[in-house]
Amino acid sequence: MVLLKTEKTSRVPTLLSMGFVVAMALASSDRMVHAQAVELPKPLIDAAQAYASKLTGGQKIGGKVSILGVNGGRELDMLKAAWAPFQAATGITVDYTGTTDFAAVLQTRVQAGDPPDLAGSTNINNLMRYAKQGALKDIGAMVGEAAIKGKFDAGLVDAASLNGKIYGVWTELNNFMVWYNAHTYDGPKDSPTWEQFDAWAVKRANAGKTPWCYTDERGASSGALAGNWIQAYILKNSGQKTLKGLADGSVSWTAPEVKAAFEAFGKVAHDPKMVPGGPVAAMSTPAVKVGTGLFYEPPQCSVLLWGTYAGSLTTLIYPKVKPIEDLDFMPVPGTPENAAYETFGGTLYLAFKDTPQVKAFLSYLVSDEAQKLVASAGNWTVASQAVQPSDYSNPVLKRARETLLKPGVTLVAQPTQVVDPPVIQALWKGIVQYVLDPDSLDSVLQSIDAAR
Amino acid sequence: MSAIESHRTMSAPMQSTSKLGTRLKGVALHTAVFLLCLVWFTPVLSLFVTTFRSESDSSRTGWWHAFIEWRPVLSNYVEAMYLTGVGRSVVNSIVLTVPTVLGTVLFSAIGAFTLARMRFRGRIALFLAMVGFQVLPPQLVLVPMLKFFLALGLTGTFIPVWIIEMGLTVPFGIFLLYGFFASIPSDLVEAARIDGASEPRIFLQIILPLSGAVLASLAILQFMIAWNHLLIPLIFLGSGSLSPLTVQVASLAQTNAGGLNTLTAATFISVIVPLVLIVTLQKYFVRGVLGGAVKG
Amino acid sequence: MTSQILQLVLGLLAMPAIVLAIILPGELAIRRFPQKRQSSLRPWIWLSPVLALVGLVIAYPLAASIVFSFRDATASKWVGFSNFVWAFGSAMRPVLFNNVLWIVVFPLLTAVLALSAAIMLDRVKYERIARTFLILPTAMSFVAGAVIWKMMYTYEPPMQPQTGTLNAIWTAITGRMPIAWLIDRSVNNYALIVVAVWMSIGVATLILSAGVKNMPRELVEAARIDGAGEWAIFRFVTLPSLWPTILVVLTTQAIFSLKVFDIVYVMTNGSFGTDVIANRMYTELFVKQNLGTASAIAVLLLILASPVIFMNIKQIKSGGGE
Repeated sequence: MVLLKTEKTSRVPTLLSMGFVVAMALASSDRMVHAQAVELPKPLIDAAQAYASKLTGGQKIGGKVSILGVNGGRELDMLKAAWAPFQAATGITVDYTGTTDFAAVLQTRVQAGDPPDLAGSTNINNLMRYAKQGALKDIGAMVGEAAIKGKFDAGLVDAASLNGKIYGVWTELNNFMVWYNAHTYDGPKDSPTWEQFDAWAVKRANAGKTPWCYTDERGASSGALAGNWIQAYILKNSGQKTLKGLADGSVSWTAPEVKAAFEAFGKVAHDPKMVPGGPVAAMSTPAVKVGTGLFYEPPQCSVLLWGTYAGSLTTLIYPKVKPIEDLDFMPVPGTPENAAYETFGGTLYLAFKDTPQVKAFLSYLVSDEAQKLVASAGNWTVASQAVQPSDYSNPVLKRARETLLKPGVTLVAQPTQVVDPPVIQALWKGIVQYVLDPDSLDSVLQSIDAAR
Repeated sequence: MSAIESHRTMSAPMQSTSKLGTRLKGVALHTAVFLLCLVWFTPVLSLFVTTFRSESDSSRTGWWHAFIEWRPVLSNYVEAMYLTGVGRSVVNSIVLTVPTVLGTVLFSAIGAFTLARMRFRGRIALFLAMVGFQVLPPQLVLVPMLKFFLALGLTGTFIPVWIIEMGLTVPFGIFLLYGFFASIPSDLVEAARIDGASEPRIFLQIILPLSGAVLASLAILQFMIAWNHLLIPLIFLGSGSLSPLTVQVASLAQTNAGGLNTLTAATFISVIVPLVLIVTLQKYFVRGVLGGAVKG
Repeated sequence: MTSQILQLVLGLLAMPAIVLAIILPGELAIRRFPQKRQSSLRPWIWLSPVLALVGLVIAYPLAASIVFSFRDATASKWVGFSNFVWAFGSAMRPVLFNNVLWIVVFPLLTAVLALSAAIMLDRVKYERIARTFLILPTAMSFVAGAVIWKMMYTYEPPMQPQTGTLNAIWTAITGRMPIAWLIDRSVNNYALIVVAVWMSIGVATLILSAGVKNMPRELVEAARIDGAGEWAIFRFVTLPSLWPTILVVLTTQAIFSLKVFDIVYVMTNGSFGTDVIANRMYTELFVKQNLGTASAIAVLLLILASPVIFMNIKQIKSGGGE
């Protein structure tokens, strides 16, 4: 009796899971939906492969390059597609480990004496710290400074150098800008000052329509979006000196111009007339949904300040929205004398080992051929200035290259890329606190200073 | 079981009112179980439904809207299977977890058997140490272990992961099994001993068979832990060709890559194997194995 | 792929082989000794593989942590008790209260629910399906758990359609304002505890089920024939005979409460007054990169756990076969 009963009931979940597997198998054979590998333009691939094969003298030297980074999913797939010609030409395997626990894994492995060959860091702080510890190799010496200097923005090379040696190379980049719904944003578009831009927001708010999109929940990095917001504001309104000062510690977070930036942000984040749902909704809605309100029916907000990727995140949610046509962007408003400066984010490759494989891979990474290949993936702008606007097929990236990365623009690192992790954590947590409690600003700024 | 129930009903002096009471109790029982399952399953259901929704649907409306406007997509699963390299990473997960589970159950059982069935100096201290060891945050184990296995040249194999996962759970395993092993009546063991059974024989033929349910509990628990651990396989195996499914799934949770629904679909793919295991091992949850043994 | 399969086979063979290779020769070796000597040597032979494993993976890092807790951030020089002065000082005090809340609410809630579940499931025919439902959450990783519960707790502004499960139910039933579950300080710690309970019930139920299945059935039958009511049976038969198992569950959950980390880290990272000790330790270790203070927190955890550890002393003293 017992046996009979158990056999019958145990079959149900087994059948369920079997059915599930079968459904999945069917799904994968369904032609309507396709998970296709990333395909990059054939001519670019051939060019990159030809270049890569020169790096090892036409020989397949084999071996491995291990990389620890933060990319995963589709993004990693694009990068792998851009590295495929290198693997094919040199026989070197690129073994990439991508994780959101990047910092913890890197620190553990370095401490234990088992660092990866390369690390794809999203901040400069790692470069400074490990270079000072003597853990990093001089990339300038490895690939030749001529392959980097002149081809990359001077600000980028500068940011990756310590004591005259280049310890890192930038590849994928992104900028920070003001995105807007081209149909509902009726404010100034031709490099307005912040006051002009803000006047539009206030007017719209008074008309009963929330102008700003702002959502900033992201688990351990909640407040990061506002961090970008505030740093972009400081660069455009107070200037690069303040931003650099915050990075190197010569400017205090309690300085009046920094406080003014927090207050400008607070004016937006604290006011339910400025942000849909006000601060509580902002802090409980995922940051990746920040663009959702732009094309909600009816639209809940018209502008947002975030990185280049905000465009593709929004079109992911609204497949019918066309970049530029429906969803456009402009540089962050500010004073005219700061117009030629932009903040940026990106991936910085650091070398912990100097092997022929690492050398070949880094030489490949900084080459025009490889950079063009990454650009053609349509997900990032790239650091090399050899890549022209016409090399981008994605209109948003093309536009970003034309406006934010054009010759004459100086890229300035955000303090959050440079300062030690405790300061970043204090900043993000402080922002979260400030958003919910406007009166806490002074103590928040002091706590960021205290974390230095 | 139903035989016992009917026996109980017959033997107890019953009146019509208490029959009604029994029925009411039955209704209450089923309602309570149903409610508990409902509450526990709703979050899972919400995730499951979301796996069939498009990103644009799920970011604008609650998951239950899928029942109002049913337009399922399979693209999340297709994408998830493609991105996680599901075939290879499931194999890696199994290679990682199965020896871990076997080792954990074996080592815990030996440890608990010794502590529960043998008298020796230091027994109490060892038992308390096993409880205390559970407090150590696993993050502090990483650097010493990586140094150790690096010196042995074993990084890049599954061996360090098995050993660390086992080591982290065995103190709990001993603690858990101890009580069950200690409660096995001494007469059983003594009888076997008089018959000339050796200690290994007692362990294998009396203790283990009588502890099916709790051993299965430990196995399921360790399977879940090892299947879902992230940091340890990440450090020792990377996310390349040796990486288990969970590492692949977690890599989909990247901040700016978008596509949360791909992550949810990947999560469901990663639950299938544990689900089969849970269902299979439940056959050890049979009432009265021990009771029967005592009688006999 | 072949290397993976090879390793799998190796692992499956090695685990029992190691154990046998130690215990069998050991048993043969001590056979020559007198009975008394045998029984004093035998435990150590049996325990040696276990002690080697636990010694390597836990005792050695634990001992290292205790040493590091007296050294500076990079473990390069002795700093005396200054890490402990910091850990026991004002730095940790605000988060201690949250751990106290966890340690009181979480084990009790889990134990009561799991015990009810184990007893109720034992009486229904669809036991396996029901138990599978309860264990399912345990099969999910913390990443997935966070995704699920952020969907459950989603907050949309008042008057907007609620997309979060809980707020949709809450506003529909009460007609009140939606609640920001993870931000509102009067509920957010409980909201996190609920996630932990949701994920932990499965295993607790399994363990208690194993206990229920092993309960001497004659006792219950005898009590029932004597006319005892359900409550009396529970109070005087079920509860006492399950007590060791319940203690195991309570102890485990109490220790979990002390070192709770992942749930807090992924859901709030300790903002809005939800911070806990282990999250602080993670910050010290991986953000501030201070091995000294991180180790001191680990020692603090051990000290805080000592009442829980000694709660079990009675069990070991009364237990033990022969």
